[in-house]
This record gives sequence, C-alpha cells and structure tokens, in this order.
Amino acid sequence: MKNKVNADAKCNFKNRSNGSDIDLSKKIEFLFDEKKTYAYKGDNLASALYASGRRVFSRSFKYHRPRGLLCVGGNCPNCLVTVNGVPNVKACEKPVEMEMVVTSQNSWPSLNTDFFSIFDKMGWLMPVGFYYKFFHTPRILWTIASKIIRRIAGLGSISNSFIDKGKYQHSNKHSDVVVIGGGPAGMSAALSAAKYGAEVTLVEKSNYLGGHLRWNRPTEINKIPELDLSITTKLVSFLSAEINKSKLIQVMNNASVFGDYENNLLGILKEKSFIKLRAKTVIFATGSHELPSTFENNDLPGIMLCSAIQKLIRLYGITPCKRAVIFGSSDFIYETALDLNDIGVENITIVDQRKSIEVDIELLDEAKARKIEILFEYTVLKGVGGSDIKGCIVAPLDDFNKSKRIACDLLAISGGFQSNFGLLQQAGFKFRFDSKLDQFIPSGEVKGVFHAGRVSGSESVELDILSGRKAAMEAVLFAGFEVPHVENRQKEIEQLIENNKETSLKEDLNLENKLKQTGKSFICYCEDVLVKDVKTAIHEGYSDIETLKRYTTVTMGPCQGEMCQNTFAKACSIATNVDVDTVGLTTRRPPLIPVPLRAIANPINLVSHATSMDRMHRKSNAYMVDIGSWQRPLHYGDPVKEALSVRNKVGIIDVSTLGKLDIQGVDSGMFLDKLYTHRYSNLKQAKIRYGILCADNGTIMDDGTVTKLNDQHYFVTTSTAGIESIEQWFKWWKVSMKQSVYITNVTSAFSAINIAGPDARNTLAKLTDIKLDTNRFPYMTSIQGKVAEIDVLLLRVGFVGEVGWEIHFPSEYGEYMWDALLSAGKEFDITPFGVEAQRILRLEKHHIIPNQDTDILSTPLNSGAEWAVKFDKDDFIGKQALVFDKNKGLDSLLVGFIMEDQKIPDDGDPVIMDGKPIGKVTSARNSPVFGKGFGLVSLPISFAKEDTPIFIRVNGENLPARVVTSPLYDPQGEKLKL
Amino acid sequence: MKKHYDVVIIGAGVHGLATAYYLAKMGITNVAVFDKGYVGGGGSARSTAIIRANYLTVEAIPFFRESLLLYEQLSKEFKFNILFNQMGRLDLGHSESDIYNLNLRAEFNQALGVDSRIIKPEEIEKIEPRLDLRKGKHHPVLAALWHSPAGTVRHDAVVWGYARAASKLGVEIFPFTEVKGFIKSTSIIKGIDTDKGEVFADTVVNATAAWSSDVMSLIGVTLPIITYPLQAMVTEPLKPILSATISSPKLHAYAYQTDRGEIVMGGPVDPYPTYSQKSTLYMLEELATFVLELLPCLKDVNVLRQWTGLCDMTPDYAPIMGFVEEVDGLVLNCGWGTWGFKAAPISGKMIAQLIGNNKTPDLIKPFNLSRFKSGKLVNEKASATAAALH
Repeated sequence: MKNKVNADAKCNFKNRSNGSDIDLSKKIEFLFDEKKTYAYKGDNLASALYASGRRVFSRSFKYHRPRGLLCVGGNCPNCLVTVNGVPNVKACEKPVEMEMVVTSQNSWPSLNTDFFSIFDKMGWLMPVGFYYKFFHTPRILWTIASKIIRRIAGLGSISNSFIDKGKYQHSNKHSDVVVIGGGPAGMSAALSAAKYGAEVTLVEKSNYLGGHLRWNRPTEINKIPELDLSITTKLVSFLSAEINKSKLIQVMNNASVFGDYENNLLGILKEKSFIKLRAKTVIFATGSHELPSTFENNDLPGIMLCSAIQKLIRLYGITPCKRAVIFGSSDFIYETALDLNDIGVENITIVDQRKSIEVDIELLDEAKARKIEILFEYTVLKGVGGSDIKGCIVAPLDDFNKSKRIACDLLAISGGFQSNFGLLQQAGFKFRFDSKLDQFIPSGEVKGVFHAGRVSGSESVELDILSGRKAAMEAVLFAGFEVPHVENRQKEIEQLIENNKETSLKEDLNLENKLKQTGKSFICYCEDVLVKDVKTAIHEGYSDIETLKRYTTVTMGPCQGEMCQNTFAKACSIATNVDVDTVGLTTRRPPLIPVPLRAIANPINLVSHATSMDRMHRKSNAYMVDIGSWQRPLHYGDPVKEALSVRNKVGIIDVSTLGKLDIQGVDSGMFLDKLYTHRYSNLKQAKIRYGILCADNGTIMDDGTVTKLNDQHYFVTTSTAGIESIEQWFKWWKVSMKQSVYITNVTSAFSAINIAGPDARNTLAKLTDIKLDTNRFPYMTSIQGKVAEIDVLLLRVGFVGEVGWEIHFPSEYGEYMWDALLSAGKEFDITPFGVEAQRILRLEKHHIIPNQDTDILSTPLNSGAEWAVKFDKDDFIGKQALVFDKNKGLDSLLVGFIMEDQKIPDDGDPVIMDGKPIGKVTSARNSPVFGKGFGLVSLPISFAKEDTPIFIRVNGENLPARVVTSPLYDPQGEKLKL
Repeated sequence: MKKHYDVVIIGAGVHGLATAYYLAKMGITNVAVFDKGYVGGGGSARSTAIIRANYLTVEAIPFFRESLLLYEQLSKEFKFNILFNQMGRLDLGHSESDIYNLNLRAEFNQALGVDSRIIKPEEIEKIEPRLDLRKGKHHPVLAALWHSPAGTVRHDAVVWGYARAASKLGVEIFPFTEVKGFIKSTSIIKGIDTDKGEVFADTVVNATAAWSSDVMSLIGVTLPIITYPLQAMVTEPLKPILSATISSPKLHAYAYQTDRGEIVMGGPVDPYPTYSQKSTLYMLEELATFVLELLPCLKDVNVLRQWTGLCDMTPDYAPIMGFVEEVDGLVLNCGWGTWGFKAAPISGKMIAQLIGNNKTPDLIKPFNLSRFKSGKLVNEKASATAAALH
C-alpha cells in the first residue's frame, strides 16, 4: 500500500483569512467522498477542498497518477470530480452549495489508494501509441485487451436515472456589440462602444468583472486620458461603476461562450440557461492563461501555477504553503513570491532561468529586502514526492550535474502565458508564434470580429485599456455607428498604444532547456502524454502537427489543449527542426468548454402533432402511433373488423394529417401542369384529379389529389409526411418560374374525415342537403356546402375502394364533426377505422403509398402509374428523365401478388430466384375479404406478368406466390362509381 | 519524386492508400500517392469509422460483406493494431415504416450471407441496457436490426496502417503536394501536374472523395457528385456504459463508445451543399436532442468537440468505381458519401485488381460511372442512416 497518503489526516478546517470572493460569516457543509467537509460562502470546491488540506484531487487518465490543483482557472483536467452524480465537473469552477455530494473519479478502490496506479510503474509497457503496437495478433488478443483497456480508461461514471433534474432554459438574444471577457480590456471596450451609442452585451465567465486584476499583485498605471487612476487596485471598481451607470451595457456574468459559429452566432451557457446570442460584431477580450513548465514529475500534487497561487490568496484567503519554491522566467514569479511573503510565508526560493539583469529592478530589490532566496540561471529538473510535493531538484542551466535538492511543500511554476485563442480560431483568425511573447497570437483580420487585451498579446494594463478602446471603435464602425472625428480619434489611440508599448528586455530562451525530456515530464495532463512521447512519435514518422496530435492524442482531452497546445508546438518544433510558427496550431473546435448534452438538447424538435379529433380517438381506446410528425390511431382494437366494416357497412377515418395546400392566382393551372405529371389546366370546375409529383430525375416525390375550385383556385392534398418539403418545392418553383401563384399551407387550418362504405351516402345524407346521388355528385368531383351546419369542402374520392367522401372543414369543429358522423351512422353500424385498416383496404386496390411502395428509384412508370403521366404536355418536372426511361424500357415494375398458401409475408421480404434476391415485397397484408396473403411487390420486368409464379422468403422459408396485375378488390372500380 | 510512376493516386486518404497498398501487394510497386494536405487528413480524419455490412441492395451487400472480412484481418496483416472492436450494431425501429426498412435489410442481408436479424425489445435490452426502452415515449423502440459483426476501428490507425504497409512495399507518399492539373494526349492520360512539378504515369486514380468532382473538372470530366457537410461530436471519456454502436435511422442519429471511453455521436448529412467544414450550433442542438431521446442516461455528459467532414454524395447513394470511358488510364474511386471508410479495404483491393488486370472485377461492376448514363442505378438510400434527409 505504497500509494497510501495521509491526506485524510490533514482534512481539518483551517483558519482562513479574508478573500475577495468568500464570506467568512457563512459556513457551508458538504460531503467529499462521504466525508463531511466545510467551506465558506463564495468558495468553489477546489478552494474549499484545498483549504481543508486536500492535495490529491483526481487520478490521471492513463497512469492513474495522483493529481492536485494546478491552474484554479478551469483550464486543466486535474480537479475533475463527480458532483451530485454528474461526472467530470471542474472543482475550481463549481461553487460549493449546501449538502453537495462530491466524489472523486477514476480511482479504485479510493482516491488515495488507487490499485490502477501500478500502471505508473509500468510506463515502459505503455509507450505512446502502445495500443497500436501491441494486441494485433492473434485477433482474440485485442478482443480481451480492449475490454480491460475500456475499464481502465474513461473518467467519470454516470448513473442510469431517467429523471431530469432541472431543465435548461433556452433563449435567443441580439446585440450590436458583444464583448467577451470582463477583464480590463473587455470592460474598457464595452464602455467605449456604449459611448458611441451601441448596445453592448459584456459576457464574463465568472461571477465578477475585473479579470486578472482581481488576483494579480497591484501595480502602478501610467497616465491614460479619461482614466484618472494611478494604481490597478482601484481600476476594477472604477470601471465596474462606469459600466453599471451605462444604460447601454448589459453584463452577462457566470456565462461562458462555448462557440463562435457562422455570422457571429455565439453559443453561451449561463448557469441553467443556454443562450444563442446573435451579434452584429464581436470583440474578443478573452485574456490569456498561464502555462505549466515541463520537467520530470511536473504533475505532482503541490505543483501549481503562480496565477493559481494568487487566486488562492486573493480570492479565497488561503495560505497555500509553509515553504515555497517558485520557478519560471518572468517577473511574474517575483510578484507571486512577494504575494506569498505578504501573507506570512517566509521561506521562499525563486528559481529564475534568466540572468539577474533581466529582472525588473524594483521587484528584485523588494525580493532581496524580504530575504527571499534567488537562484539566477537555474532551472528545476525534477519534482520530488509522491502524493504531495516534498521538494525539487534544481540545477544551473549550464551544468545539470551540479544539481541540488530544495525541500518545499509548494512548487509554484510559471511556464509563460498563452492567449485564450480558441474562440478567435473558431471565428477564422490565423495565428503566428511571437517568440518575444513566447506565445501564439492572432494575426490577420476577420470581418466583423475584433480582439483586445491579453488575447492580442498585451502584457500591460495600459495596453489592455487602450486596445479595448481601439477594438470598440472598430467594432462600432463596423456595426454602422458614427464616430465623430473618427480619423483623429484613430490616430490618437494608435499614438497612445505606441507610447505604452514596452521595450521588452526578454531574451529567447533555448527551447531545449525549457522542455526537459527525461522521466515523466508531462506535456498533456488530460491524456498523460510525456515530452519524450512526442519525440518518439515524431521518430516513428508522425511528424506533422495534425498527425502527431492524432497519434499521441495531445490536445484531445477534456482541457482541449489549453494547457498543452503551446508546449506541444514547441516540442514538435525541436524534434523536427522546424520553427514553431511553421509547426503551427491544431484547430480548437467548438464547444470550447465542455457542454452537457442536456443543456443544448432542444426537446421542441421532438414535439408531435395531434389532430383536432385526437381526444375522441383516445376516448375510443385507439392505439396511437407516430406517423411522420403526427400521432394517429393505428386501430381501435381490431383492424380487420374495421376493414370489413368499411367494405360491408360504413366507416370513418380521421385524415386531418393529409397535407393541404391552397393554390390561388391566374397562373395556378399552368403552375400545377408544370409540377405534376398529370394535366390540370383542362380540368373542369369542381373536378378532382390524382397527381404525382416527380423530382427532376423522374422519381416520385409525393402524390395526392388536385381539386379545381375555380379557374384561379385549386385545393391540393399531399401525403402526411410530405407536406413540409412539398410546400418548399412549390414555393421554390413559384419563385423561379416567376408565376402569379399564391401558395398557402392550410394543413392545420382544416381537419378532414373520410367516410366510406356502402352506407356512407345514407349516413352523410342525414347531415346535409347536398345531393349525394352519383349523377349529381359523381366520383372525382367536389362540392362546397354544409355538413352538420358546418361549411365544408366535400371531395368524392376513393382511396379505400368504396363510395366515400373526404370532408374538409375548419379544424375547430373536429370533435363535433366526428361525433355528428358517428351519431348519424349509428343506425348503419358505423365504425371508426384506423391507419391499419386503411392500409389493408388501399392495398386491395393497389393504391400506392409514397416511400412505402416507392423508393428513391421509383418513377410513375415502374410503379405502375404511367396513366398519370401526360407525355404530350409541353414540359413538366421529370419529363426528360421519364421520356428517357420510357424509351429505354423498364427494368422493374411494381405489381400485385397473392400467396399460394396461408402464410403472410412481412413488408420488406425478398423475392428469391435461384437462391438470390431479385425483388422485394413493399407492402403485404392478409386480405380479410379473400383470406389470403397479398400485396405489392417490385419485380424485374420479366417477372411482372400476370400469373407468373414467384417465391417469397418468409421467415427463412421460400413460399410460392403468383403475380396479379390488377387490384384484388373491385378491379374495374365499379364500386367507387355507385 | 520520380519522373514516372506506373500508377499515380490522387488523395492520401484511406481509399488512396488502400489502393496503393493492394497494388503493391500485387507487385505493382512503382506507385505514388499525392495529397494536398497531411496523410489521412480529409474525410479519413473525420470519419466516425463504423464498419458494417448490413446494407440494402444486392449490389452493395456482398461488397461491404467482403470489406468487413478484410477489416477483420487488417491488424494481423499490418502487425499494427487498428483497434477493430466488433461490438455489434443496433439499428433501431421506432415505427412501422422503420421496421419495414429494417426487415428489408435483414432479409436481403441473410439472403446474401450477412449476419443481421430483427430483434425485439427484450433482446435489445440484454445487448444495450442503457437504451431508453420505455413504452409510450415519443420515439419508442419497437424493434432493432442486430448486426453482430459490425464494429468500430480507430480511423487514423487504419490510414497509418495502410500508409506504413504500402511504403514498406515501395509505394511513395507525398503529403502537402497539390495536384494542379492533368497531362493528357488526345484521350489518354499521361500524368499529373503538381505544385512541385510534373509527374508522368500510365494510370491515374482519383481518390479525393469530397473534392473528386473538383479534381475531375481539371480534366473536363463531370461527375454526378455533390459535396455536403456531415457533422459529428464526441464527449469526454467515461467508464464503459455502451456496448454496441446504436443508430436510429428515423432520428438520423447514432452513437457508440470508443475504447478510450468517449461517446462518439453523429447526425444526418446537412441539407445544403458546401465545402465549409465549420460546425453549426443547430446540429449540436439537434444531435444532443436525438441522442438523449435514445440514451437519456447521457444527459449530464459533456460534449468536448464537434467537427465537420465532407461527403461526396451521388444521386443513388452508392459509390463510383472504375474506368472513365472518355479518358484512357483514368480510374475513379469516389462517390463515398457517408459509407466510405467501411469500404476502403475492398474498394482498394478491387481498384488494384482493375488496374493490374485491366478488367473491372465483378464485385464493383454495378458501381461504374456509366450507370448514370444507362440509368441502371443502385438504390442504397434506406440504409445510409446519415443520408436519410436526402
């Protein structure tokens, strides 16, 4: 049990001093790994756990090494925990709430004693890409190995509960200017933009404005116009107050922009809401983040970024250590040392890789005055310790043999900064590596998108403020606002920026020194990738950055490359001898921050439509199913009985889901002639004609009926599922043909009931004065009139093969009309019938259903509907292709079949010839009238002849059937005309 | 770079490299592969790499069946693990018309020697207990097509495997080398013009997927191909929770868990043609919605990345393989839409045979370019989950 640490023993509630974010008067209790732990209001899980003595927060992905706090900024994977059952929550971004249940992840049996940490000792067994190199022969080996690897990899587990705790609110917002980042640059940009009259949304990911000024050591500010302050401490409150005063600025805090999509559409998560913010223009003031240094064991708990130390001190009032070593090559490490010293840490050693002359003289003097030990031109070679840092090995840069060990309980590191460029990359910016700044910064321009502050490479508060003002001016100009004396102002601000640029004393460090390659020197904390792994992979031939990323998986973990991208490019540069700029960056894709699925899921996409008679169906115990986006009754208990009832008596079916288009205008007839294969311009008033809509290539898109109400007014029905695309199709052609046609989708405005059967006429006659006898109301005609006192359009059509009418009427009368028909038909034994009965009935008539009996290669010709194609018309959509097909001759044809014995095939069963499938059953049912299986089948043309014997494979058995080319029921259609 | 190669292949994705490898295996080793980007950086880099053979038509089923058999042997052949995990695949049916299509596939698969069958919710639950199988929900799971030999591979590993094996046999690969034009004498191809100079060849293979119609326009050949974006996303790694690849043809969504623990999810082809590979917020929302309808247990899981690849869609949802009638020595290996990765081994092998023997192998005869002239199309729409919108 070597991995056992005594971290638990330290889990006491330590004294805390006042931090800006916490309220010492309000104590909160929560559970961490079943142990009671305390926090103050304002603490996040990371600060509370650290304050309580916890150093190990998680176990790493591959080697299961202990990991502690590193960045306290949401940029690394080290503090991932499970909170109230939700896995992979960053502790440093999760405010503590009362009675929160927090557990550690990726460790077994416990965080302190992780069995799988034996992998840490077996690193030689897991070189980079080890899973590609091993387990390839024999095949069974990978089957076994993958099961084990799956168990070891992966971070959090999830529960299986279906309960959705707390829904996310979805909303859409608009803004002239969106400023992302509430630090000095962002605040300054927002204020400037508002001054020019723009509506500004200032998005800040934390609860507070101020950015790095909130935790950085205060510094003096040079004189800037319109800013009467000399020290940074007052800057945040000053700018905040100005922002609060402005009526044009809306601050959106605790809000993270996770994606910059096409045309400045920003995806934002704000607590329990998901906001889509559409901006005229965006200013990115997303700041920068600190990077770790690379040396052996650079991942030990107790090694933290300098900015993380400053946050623990200033925001959370934590004294993080007793004895600190601070390592880096910038003035920032001196500021951190002074901060630690301020709160009583006396024993501090600075390990500076630079020469003494490169250090800011005031800081150096101050550090010396406080008796802080400074080692110039020294570096850290190795961290020492297990589950907690015990010390480090340091050595002069020019001679690693003269190493020595320094004891410490905190190793603060600063490997430089990297601009938070993720969103800018999504917005389309390119990047260049600036060797002075030692980071990638944006280059070039993208229309409507601007940037300011640290993300643009600023290193001072003055430049933050000024670049914010400059970006604001550019942004408001882009958004169409006027800036008075714009040229003067631009010149003025350029001049100010020039004056405030510092001449850096920095020298480029030898990259080799910065990236120590021995031992476990981590580049990527998420995926446990070492510096030497990158080198190995390059030697194996994965030498360009994209291939290297995919082979080593660097940048592909939960931190999305925040911690590693910069170092990765450098490592690649060293190993391939190509400069860092040429190596370049891999793409940071959205979402920039991990986004929970349920936050963005939009159940509105799953809404189903109910007809106006829905309640009546449910009352009659209908079995409802989804058809297209509608809920429809499949049957009311016995579909066969329902079908027979229509054949022998009378039935009604709710056909409100039929798509309905109202077509008006002088060109209507011509327009329909062009779209449909049939002809409509010659249709007599009140007549109805079946129609097929084809695509350019002659394949069937949809079918339905067209009724001519008058010369300039047609009523069109489409299939239930087809209406949306057909409406678009119609409108697209209307526009491109420049015709005077008005198309209105009236699908939901009108409900429809089909009444059919020998007694349909008698039933309907009880409710209307319209003469229904076949002379005055023949088949395929329409009449407008009243049924049950309601204005209706009656269409005499016959989908199910009996005398019948489609009654179209205003939807608000749905339930009334349904009831009226049922009451009127009572004496004739009327039955409501569902979709299943309708399918049986129409199949007996060989009436096709698009997409059931047709596929993407079906044309009217090979679907047996050539009669509905008028080749003598001038032109119609699909004509050219259909003429081609007709001349070529058909390959296949949709025909009927009937089984020779009692078995019934399923829809989709194949037709077998010589052991091979040659055709398919598109629809099959048992005929209640004939008592046999029958249906429609698509067959090669040579088989599609009356009485041809075929074999259909039903449940693995080839059963005999024969082809029938005319409908099973009423082949001459006489019943329809009765 | 030599002055002359027997075969020049444009596109160093999985198809180009597989073609090169099988050519070299046949002894044709004087082969060069060119790519304007890095090796496997186009569609291959973006594929979610599901390997299956449960297609719909008599043309496609045997083709993909053979591909799957080749995939089973690849790790051994390369001595490089492509991480083929044969976890099986569930295509879910939510409605009667879904089940019709699934049954069509099951029946045709069985008739043509592919192991797939319709299973009921009780059996689905045993295979994938995390699926939401509650009755009466909006999209209830009524049945599924279970295709047990299906699985996933690590897409990059397949590309690298082919690249390594091909170059060991003498094939030369030139990444970051863009083809600018073709060299032609009357109707015979003579070579290509790249940004690094001219290269002569007896045979030129176009294996550039989404860019194949662009590349062909350089030589005046029009392909019936339109390029559409196709999006996918991946979550953070989780402990094992899913065991099969799950697909819903109706919702146009699919998901599976990788060996590393991430959940990979994909959606339908976007409804507009473009070469832009920018992901959209709309697709993120839609995919999240549909995946949660199937797997509500993933509600608190975080999405880490979304990305977009490009698909070279043909009118009949089937690939184009074979000679080009108008230009001697020009060979097509394109039109791979959403079904390309799973076909790479067999298409590579068949194209290699076609070149080596100067004769189109029977297996790929139905997929020639001239079918768009003769009208003998292949109908693979119903089985291409991702293509369902088109």
